[in-house]
Amino acid sequence: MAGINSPDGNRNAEVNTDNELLIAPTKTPSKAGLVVVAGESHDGISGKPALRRTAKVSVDKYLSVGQPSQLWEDFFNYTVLNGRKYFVANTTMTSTVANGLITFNNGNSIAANVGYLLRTFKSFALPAQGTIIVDFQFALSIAIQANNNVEIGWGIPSTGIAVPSDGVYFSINNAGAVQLISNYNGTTTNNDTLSWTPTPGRVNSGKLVVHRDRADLYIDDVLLGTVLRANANTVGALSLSQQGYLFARLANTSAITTAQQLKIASWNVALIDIAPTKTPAQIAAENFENAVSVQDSIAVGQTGNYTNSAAPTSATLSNTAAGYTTLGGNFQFAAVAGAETDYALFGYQVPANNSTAEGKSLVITGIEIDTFNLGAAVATTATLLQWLLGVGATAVSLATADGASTKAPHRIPVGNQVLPIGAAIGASAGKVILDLTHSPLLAEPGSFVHLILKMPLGTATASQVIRGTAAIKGYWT
Amino acid sequence: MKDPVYLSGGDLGGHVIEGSGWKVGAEKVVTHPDTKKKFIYRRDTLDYNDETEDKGVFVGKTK
Repeated sequence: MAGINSPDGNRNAEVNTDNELLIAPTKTPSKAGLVVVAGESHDGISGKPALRRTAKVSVDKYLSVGQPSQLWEDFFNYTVLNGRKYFVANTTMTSTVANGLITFNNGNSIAANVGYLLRTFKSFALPAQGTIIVDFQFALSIAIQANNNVEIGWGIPSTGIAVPSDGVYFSINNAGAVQLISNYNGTTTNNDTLSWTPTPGRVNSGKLVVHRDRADLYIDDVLLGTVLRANANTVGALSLSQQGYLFARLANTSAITTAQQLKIASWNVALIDIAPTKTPAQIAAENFENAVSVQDSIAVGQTGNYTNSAAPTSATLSNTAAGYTTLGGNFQFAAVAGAETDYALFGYQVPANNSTAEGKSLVITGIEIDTFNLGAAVATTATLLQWLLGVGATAVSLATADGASTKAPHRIPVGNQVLPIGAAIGASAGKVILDLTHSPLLAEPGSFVHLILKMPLGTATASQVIRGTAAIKGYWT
Repeated sequence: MKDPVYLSGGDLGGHVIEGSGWKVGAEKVVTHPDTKKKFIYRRDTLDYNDETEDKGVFVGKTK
């Protein structure tokens, strides 16, 4: 029997028990052959046939590498939906956030023409050279049935009961067909029907990979659907818009017998194939994680002490209690005599971490304080204001010491201001600025951020009020 | 406590004392409960947003 032999006939090629030829590449570089690097997006064992792609190399022979750059992420492990991040358009259907899931149609509506849409206020660009990935952990409460619409993905939806006008998304249509849709300005004929049957209540991992020329949909790491721009050969991309929202929608298009619920545990959007150029602060800002607002899982609100068209209440200056419990904002207080007492003019506690809270830390990148005189002119003695920022304290009292289970507020000077003798009503003490951009301070969950005021010089002139604004800048991370 | 007044400033800032009999504009010597040091506070009425609130404003230490 003929075989593969060495030139001298002394060595034979070997085959293992699986009838696979055993090959060892040469260890001599000059004798090495050409090997093309490829990646396997899908093994083809189930779902679509195997999908393998060769690596991309530039004209200058640089290997193109695409690490995901996170654009959006949310785990619904809390109970309060952040209304500053998400737009809701609903007809009858409502949602609830509990037990790690946001549940659409928690009221189990079976009526016709009702629906619930959740989408981000922020839009996400689909760059010409890049790819966005929408990852979503989702479940359906019952088996797929006719007369429900379910959609999750990237696009431009409008209401809870209307099909999106554009985008690329996972869809279950009126007939109960599961599809990957390329919606080009309302035309949804470029789609791929998936062979997939969900188990009611089971959370599935969906991954939508969207490029302008192609989109793939994976469920539980199996490639189930693909749409190609070339299939709709008169369009330049899978969607007309290049800015889409992250969205999910559930609707009853006709009356049904048993209510369907859509549940989402988490979702995120990432960009690949384009090197990230944004700083963590910029990414946080685009995720509505700027410290101007409270972090997710807290009732929506601003962090600073600002009331529309109103003066601030007068603070009580104390070493052990906060004048205001906000993260900066407006302040005013009656002029007091000079003392070396540190006052906790602002004492803001970063929300504590637990299983049903975001528990993020606050990164402080800067402070600006602007102060002026009101009520009466400064008499007898100038007013000297020394400002300090304190971070890390485990209690609001500035007297809190570092210990086994306690931490003191560690202080850094912000600046000094002076209102000289005779400073009139309206006189400015100027602005002090502390820029922490290059060495930000971290306030961890549960800790206090103090804006501390000391006035070693001052007179308690009757009616004199010191007023101003304190901007504490930062972001949640 | 009748007519509670918050003290603002000085070592007793944040403490609340009874204000009955303490007239607006008058000064009052208050003793720190721990250090026994004496401090002077003046009762002021603060006005904002058409509302008023009285505070004891730190004026200085006793001589």
